[in-house]
Amino acid sequence: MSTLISCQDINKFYGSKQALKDVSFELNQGTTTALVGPNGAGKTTLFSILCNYHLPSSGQVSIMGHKPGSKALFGQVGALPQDAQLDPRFAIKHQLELFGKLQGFSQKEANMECQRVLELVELSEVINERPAALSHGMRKRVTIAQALIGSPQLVMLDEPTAGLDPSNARNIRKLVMDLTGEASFIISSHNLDELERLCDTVLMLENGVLSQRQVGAMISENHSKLTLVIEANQSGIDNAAELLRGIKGVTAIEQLNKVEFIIQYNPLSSVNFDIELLQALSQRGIKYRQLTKGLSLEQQLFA
Amino acid sequence: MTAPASAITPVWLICQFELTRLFLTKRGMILLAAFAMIWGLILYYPVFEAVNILNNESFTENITVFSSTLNLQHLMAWPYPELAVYWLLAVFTFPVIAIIMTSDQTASDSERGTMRFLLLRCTRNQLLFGRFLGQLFIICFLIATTMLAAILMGVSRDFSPLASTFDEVALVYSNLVLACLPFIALMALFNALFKSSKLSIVATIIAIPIIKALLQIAAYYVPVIGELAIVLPGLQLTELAQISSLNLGALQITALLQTAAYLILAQIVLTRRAL
Repeated sequence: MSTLISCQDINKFYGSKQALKDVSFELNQGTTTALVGPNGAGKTTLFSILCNYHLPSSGQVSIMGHKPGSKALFGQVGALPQDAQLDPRFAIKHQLELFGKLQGFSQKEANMECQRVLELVELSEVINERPAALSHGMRKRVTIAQALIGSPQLVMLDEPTAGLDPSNARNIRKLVMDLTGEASFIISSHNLDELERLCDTVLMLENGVLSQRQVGAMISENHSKLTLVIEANQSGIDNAAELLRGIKGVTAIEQLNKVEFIIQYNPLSSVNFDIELLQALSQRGIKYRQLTKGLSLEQQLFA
Repeated sequence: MTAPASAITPVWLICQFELTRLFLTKRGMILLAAFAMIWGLILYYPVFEAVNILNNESFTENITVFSSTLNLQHLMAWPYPELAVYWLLAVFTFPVIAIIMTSDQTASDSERGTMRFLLLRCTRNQLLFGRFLGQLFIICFLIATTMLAAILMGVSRDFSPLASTFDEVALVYSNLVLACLPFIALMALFNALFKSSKLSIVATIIAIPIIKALLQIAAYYVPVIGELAIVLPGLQLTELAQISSLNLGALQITALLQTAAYLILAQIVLTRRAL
């Protein structure tokens, strides 16, 4: 698997404030990466450096072997920058076709590509509208469409579902999932549930300092843990932790709140522990809402 | 699909897009309507009365612009007085029109973030020069349109000297474009600096007289500093209005150098600025 992005000792200062501190990481092609962290952690700064909107104060950045902003990356990298908007005075078709032609498409090809990407975000009908005539959510989806022109190898999305209604947010998540494998994604978001479903790698920034980790099935500690959420309105819920401890194979129980538990078990002694757990819950009359392998992304990042 | 192999193609594509900005957007149409209204009045009154104006013996003796008395004797020999009066008005009017009409080259795109979409597909230099060329073509088009109207006024009065007026037409057109060029480049620079078209216009109006005054004060103590006024656009307009022959002289070279200097500065600012 070849290297998609390589960052070495990136520092970024705004006056005396240091937004990024010795940030180094490597991402491989084909991955979907989450960029998370609290407000002001440096996510948008890192995003902007990768897109060549900002220059790093020091350090080296390479995308597919090229510097950000290199001509070789035009058409290979798509991005949804935070809060960027299309020109409200021109029709969407007019602007997306210009982007396509700048990427090397002929007028006819650019027109077809414009229709294709608008179909991907289910907005074919607004092709002749001006952005000013669209709702916030529709404008966001159009700007996501522009990031997909020419089927780039790397797509960077800064808060792609922020401000979208649940249905359209779901469509964008589905779109990312469908395109996984064809393109690598870097997604910045505060929605950890969303990122957990989409991403296999997490870049976490806190005060400009980066930590990189694998998520989901790829991390070893997830092989011996389950996250269980039970129904809140049922009898015996106060004793649920005790009942769970009594199940064969359970080595430890961590109760996160009234209804959520992390169950640690010995995978060697019980190969089908998840099935045995569900049977044990049924026998003890405990109704469950959700059972997840491993820890949630929130638990992995903040516990 | 990769970007076009030629570095010129994106510049031309961006330039073409700028041309549509004048005719396909509300702001462009309003500017065009205002322009047509102003030039309609100019053409209808002073240009239409050009024969009478130039026949007035005191005309060439009494014109003073920016404290300089203009020597306009050569205008009396032009085949079409309409073109002569047009030239005299346009050489001072078009730079102002250029400032207003080209005041938004990259500013609003930068402020809105639209530039970020473009810079995934072209370099900052290509964007800068594409926009500059687009605005230049718009000004060239406006000059050509108004000049054609002035010539048509003359032709409608007397067709016979049309064949002998080529030199004057070339002089007027080329020098009007050269008079506007440094201002268009200056707006490109101020757009890169301020991210606001209104601020760019205000900065132009304020900066030129203030810098000129400061240079004059400094020149009182160190005379050579006064020579730096050559970098300011517009100070050469009174001399330009008096030129009588079509050639590439010091005034034209100064305008070209000013344009090049402002564009280089704009390129330096834009390539180093965070977007």
